[in-house]
Amino acid sequence: MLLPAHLAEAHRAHVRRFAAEPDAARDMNRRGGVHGRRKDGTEFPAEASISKVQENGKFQFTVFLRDISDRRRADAALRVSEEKFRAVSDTANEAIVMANSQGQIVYLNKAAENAFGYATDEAIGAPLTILIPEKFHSAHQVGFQTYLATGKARVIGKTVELVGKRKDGTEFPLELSLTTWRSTAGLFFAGMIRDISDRRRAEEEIQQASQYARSLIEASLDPLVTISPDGKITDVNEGSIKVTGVPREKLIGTDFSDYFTEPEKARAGYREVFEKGFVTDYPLTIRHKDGGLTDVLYNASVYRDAADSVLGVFAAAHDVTVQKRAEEEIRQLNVHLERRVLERTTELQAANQELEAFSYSVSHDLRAPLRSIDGFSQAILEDYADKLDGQGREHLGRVRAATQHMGNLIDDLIKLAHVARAEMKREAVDLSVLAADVLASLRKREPERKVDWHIESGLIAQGDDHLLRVVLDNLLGNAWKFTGKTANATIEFGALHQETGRQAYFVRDNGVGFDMTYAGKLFGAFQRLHSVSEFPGTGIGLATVQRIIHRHGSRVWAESAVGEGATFYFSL
Amino acid sequence: MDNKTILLVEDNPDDEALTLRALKKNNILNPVTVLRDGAEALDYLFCQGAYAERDANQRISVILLDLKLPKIEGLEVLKRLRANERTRLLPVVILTSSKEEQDLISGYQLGANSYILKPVDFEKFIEAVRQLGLYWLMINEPPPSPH
Repeated sequence: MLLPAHLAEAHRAHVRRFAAEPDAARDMNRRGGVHGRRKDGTEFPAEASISKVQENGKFQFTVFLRDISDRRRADAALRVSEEKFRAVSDTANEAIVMANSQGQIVYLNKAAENAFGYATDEAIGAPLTILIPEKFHSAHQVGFQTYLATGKARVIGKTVELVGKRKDGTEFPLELSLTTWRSTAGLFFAGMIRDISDRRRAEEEIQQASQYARSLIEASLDPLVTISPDGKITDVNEGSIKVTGVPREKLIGTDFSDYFTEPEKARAGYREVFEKGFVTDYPLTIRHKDGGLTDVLYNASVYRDAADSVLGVFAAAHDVTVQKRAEEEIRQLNVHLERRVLERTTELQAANQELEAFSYSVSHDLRAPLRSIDGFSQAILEDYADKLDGQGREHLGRVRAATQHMGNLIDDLIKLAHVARAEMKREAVDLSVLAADVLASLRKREPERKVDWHIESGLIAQGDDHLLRVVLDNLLGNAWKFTGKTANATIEFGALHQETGRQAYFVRDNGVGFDMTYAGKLFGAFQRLHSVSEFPGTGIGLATVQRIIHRHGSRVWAESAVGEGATFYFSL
Repeated sequence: MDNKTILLVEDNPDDEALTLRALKKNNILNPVTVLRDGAEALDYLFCQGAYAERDANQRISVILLDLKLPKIEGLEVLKRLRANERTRLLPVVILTSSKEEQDLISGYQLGANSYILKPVDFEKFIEAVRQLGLYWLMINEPPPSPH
């Protein structure tokens, strides 16, 4: 009645067996669970013990039953909880190792097996030190014993970074969170362990990268800084420290603009960087804390994070003090030079004035006696013609010719002096037109001469109209003169391109020419390669030409051979 | 041609003689008064100093004025002439051997009526004087005497 129906048969067998045994009492639960049946038919687990007494050949059995439904439920709950724990701990990424107060491993999860390379049955019961590199064993022991003795520990309740040892002896960095609890079975420790090799590697990489960046920054002797969007210095290099005299930690976090003679300009500068993304060669002057100034040019640009938002400004200053000093020196030298030029100009002006006074005198005073000589010779010829014989008249004729020549010399000398100091204009001059004009006037003077001429048209040069006319007057005049004894006199004016890219103009004739041996004398004043009786002249014309061409910054030269004409070139 | 006086301001006696000869050669028979320096010329023209007694009504047809003169230079003489109401309109021909441009420009700026270069060649000089005489003594009507 008190047993579930399905156990009735087993019960009867059990009672027979028990009666046959000599034992007087037994714990019924040894053989399996004992169950009772309530009146309502529900069953319950029970704990039972039984004893027998023989009386009148009959056995009497006394059974003590205890309903153990509650205990069973607690046991089941514990089992579920343990299973839950196992399931959680085995799926955890973190290694979990538990140890008892003897320092023996009592539990490790899958992750711990993987991390350390031990299987659970190898590790259980083994000392914790199998997971710790030898060099840390004594420190571990000291910490462990100290905790056991005092309850104080450096590592409990905290996360610390330590080094672990695998079964194969390799070591790896780990992060350990340690907790401890006391139970009826004693003191236990549980460690949550994370292998941080990857993190370490990443950190090392970052550190290396940042060291690389820093070494780059420090490699620059120029002051470099990074500035946050609100204008605060976020990093500096040694160059910045040197130029300001302020240590790194005092620079970082302060206003970038504080270190310049013109803070507002500095602020305007980095505002510009944020607006435009960069500035180049932005001039500022850095003030050292001792008052020294350094002129710099800043190149700066914004730098961004992966999401492209601006993190700050990177600014590099280039010290231009030396450059500035050089510029200042150049400026000083220029001032000095200008002063000297001014002095020289004043001297030259004085010399020029003297020369002007001189040529003024020459033109006035040297002509006057010539006029007298010529005038009175003429008067004698006219008034005393009857008293002179042919010889006398011839002598007076020579006197007059000589005075004419002297007069021409004076005129030419004044012209030469004039071209040396005349104001020079630079304008487009049509040399072709000028040449035609000059030749026309030569023809007018000697209409009986037969001269062919060829003028290349449209030769426009830059120069002084008046002075270039003097050049052509002389060169074409010479060509005209030195073809005076040539049968088919031809004069040519044209241009040819030189290698230098400059245009060279030439006047060519087929006259008497000259010996190139004496070409060096051609352009000297008073130098003549022909006698006056052969060809008249003062020897000043080509000197005048050369002076004019030189004043134009160009040169004049000639080619010729005796009897084969001459070509005079000038570039402009 | 009436006998209006030609005034020659010239310090060089040779040039004076040659100029007189050139005038004569060109049959210019007007009386010529020669003055040897700028100061004398001004005294004469303004009837002052040694010429204080001169008849101011005496008509002057033309002044031949050399530029380089002792005491007061030709251009200065010209300037003072032009500044004076009585002599302001007198024809003045600058007669000089200077080709210097500056003289030329200053001469005209100060109101010279003409500018004749004295060439070395005497024949050309005679020709220059001839043209001068033609113009100033025959064609050009001198300004009326202020009196």
